[in-house]
Amino acid sequence: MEAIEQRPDLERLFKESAEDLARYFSRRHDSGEKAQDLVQETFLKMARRLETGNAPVHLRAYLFGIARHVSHAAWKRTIYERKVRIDYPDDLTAAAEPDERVRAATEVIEGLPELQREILDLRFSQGFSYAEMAEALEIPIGTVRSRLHNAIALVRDHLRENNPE
Amino acid sequence: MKPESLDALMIDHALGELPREVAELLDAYLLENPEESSRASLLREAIGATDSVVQRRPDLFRETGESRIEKGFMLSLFSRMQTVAVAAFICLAGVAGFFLKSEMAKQQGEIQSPALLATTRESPWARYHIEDSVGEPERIFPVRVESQH
Repeated sequence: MEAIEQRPDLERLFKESAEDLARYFSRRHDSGEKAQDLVQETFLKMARRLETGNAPVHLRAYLFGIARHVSHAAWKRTIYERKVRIDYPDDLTAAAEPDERVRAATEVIEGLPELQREILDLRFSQGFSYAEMAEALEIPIGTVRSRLHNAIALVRDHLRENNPE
Repeated sequence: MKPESLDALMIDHALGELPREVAELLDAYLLENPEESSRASLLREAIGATDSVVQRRPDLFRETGESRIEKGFMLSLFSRMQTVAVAAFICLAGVAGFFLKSEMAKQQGEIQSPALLATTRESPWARYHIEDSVGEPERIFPVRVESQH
């Protein structure tokens, strides 16, 4: 009964978020075809969880929380299949000449731990709020805020070092 | 206001995470303190640069499993620590129980009435001695000893 009531929400969520989710998987796995499979897998898992009576606060954030697990499982499968570490190709947008500001920020961001990079990705790629990121990443909202602030402060400090005036 | 607190507020503001009233107060504060405005603009610049990196460099945000390994390691460490704590508690309880039991046994041996102690000794002055009753080994009876004196 509950599942039937939640189905329209899921359909709406699919229409609203499938594209964003595909972009999320493409960014994390560098494969468009694979991304579509992972989107389907994520929505299947979401439907199953909703059927068990889970009532997430932020539906979209909850969806991305599942997507994160799906993404990691896919990554692990790929690693085991290939038995080698995946070396992703270098910067796909290298053609676009980055300015000094972006270059400085890149230097900082590539040195950040993965969780902090995930926070930046969800914030600037998906436009998530602190609360949504906390739900998707299954961490306290205070952690999201402090990690995000820390990353921005590091970028700011590096920009200031590179451009002291 | 501490610079760190102001920075945090300015970042929250730039990311649209401040309540409207607080955002208005912050704007008013920055208008009155132009020297702080440069801090705000530098932070906005950092946020803009970060945004650009996220858009232009998806390769920096690929799945590596690093955060999961960290989380999994912390969880396994926590569960391992819990197991060790439980094992240590059981050992401690066992040792404490053993000592407590031996101490109680010692105390039970020590707590006897002087009269009974006197009678257990084979003394010519003893007026009573203790005998087990036949068939009732748990019970003891004082038996009058005829004085030899």
